[in-house]
Order: sequence, then C-alpha cells, then structure tokens
Amino acid sequence: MLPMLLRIRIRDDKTSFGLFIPLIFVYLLMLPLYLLFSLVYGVVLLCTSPKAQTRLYMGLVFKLPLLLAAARGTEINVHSDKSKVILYIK
Amino acid sequence: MVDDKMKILNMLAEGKISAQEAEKLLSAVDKAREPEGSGGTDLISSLESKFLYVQVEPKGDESSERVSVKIPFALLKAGLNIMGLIPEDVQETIQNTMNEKGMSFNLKDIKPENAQSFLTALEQLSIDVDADDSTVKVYCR
Repeated sequence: MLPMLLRIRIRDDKTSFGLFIPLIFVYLLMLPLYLLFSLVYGVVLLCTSPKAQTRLYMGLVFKLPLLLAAARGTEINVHSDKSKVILYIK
Repeated sequence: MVDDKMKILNMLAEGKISAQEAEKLLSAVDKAREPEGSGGTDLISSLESKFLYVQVEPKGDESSERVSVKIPFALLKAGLNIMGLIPEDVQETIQNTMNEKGMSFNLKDIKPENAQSFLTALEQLSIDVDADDSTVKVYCR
C-alpha cells in the first residue's frame, strides 16, 4: 500500500518550515500524468526500437511506486542544538 | 490440505484402508505441508514488518546531536530488487564512487535472488559503538 502522509520539518537558525503532505492528493494529481506517460511510452515502444539502456531507465521509472510503497514507515530524526530535521513517511 | 485429509478419511470410511494406514497418511500429509505452510510465508511477512534502526545518542552535555533513523526492511528489499535495473554505466559510476570512499563492496554481488538471505542475515545484525562523546547503535526489530 502506498504511503498516505509525508511529514517534513526543517528548522535551523535561518529557516524553519514544516510540511504535512497528504499524499493521496499528490497521487490523484500525478495519476493522469503517469497514465499519459505510460501511453506515450507504449506508443514509442511500438513505433521505435529503443536502446536496452532506455528500456532499463523506463523500467526504473515504473518501479518507483513500489519503492514508494516500501518506504512506508520510514522515520528520520536529526536533532542538534541549532537544527532539527524530521522526515516521516506514513 | 483439507481435501487430502478428507480423501483419506473417506477411504477409511469406505474400508479401503485400515485405521493405522489412515493415521500414517494423515501424518505424512501434515509433514509435507509444514514447511510451505508456516515457515516460508511467516518468515517473509515477519521480515517485511521489521525495521532497521540507527541511533546516535550523545554521552555528555557537550554534544546534543541525536540521530534516529528507522528504515523498513521492505524498503531495503525493494532497493535490492531495483539494483538490478540500474543501467551498467550508472552502476559503474556508483561503484567507482564507493571505491573512492573506501568501500570495497561489489554492487554486482547484490542480486534479487540473494535478497531474502541477505535480509535474514541482516535481521541478526546488532552493532554497538561506544565512543567518548556518543554511542551508536544499529539493530533490527
């Protein structure tokens, strides 16, 4: 299952920001682009014979959702006197 | 498995086999199903629900830097599987950079078929570093 929430918080002397990103909206926004890209890629595959290397890169692109799904549960916390970095993928 | 047992019981009821033969057959069915039923899937599901932790804690008051990283095993497994899809020229660049940094680890040794055994071995990993100013712990849970 794909992660549904991304939390990023970065704070230091100069900058401070925090983001809660409900990823479902990102997926909904990206889905038409992803489908369009898949369609174009399919047509390109049919019309031309791309290099093996190109096919590998495309394979990587199509595996990205798997990587994203596997990242669910990742937590990174870095605290020091002057800075703080938090990244949660849930 | 239930079907096999029902067949044996039916044969017993029809008098085709004796009670002792039925008992032997039933235990044989149980033994045959044990590894695929419980062992394999449980191992995979238990690995996928595990995490790799890296924690750096300061010892004294001088340093207050704390690092806590929690990475799902599933992400490691996905990374290992995707490694094979990375084009060779990119792999070479990564390998060269690793060699320059003193990591004599060969990326080509990482194969998807070895991922499961690698993760099983990683599950037993436990590193404790006790330095003057901080402690570092790497473990899986």
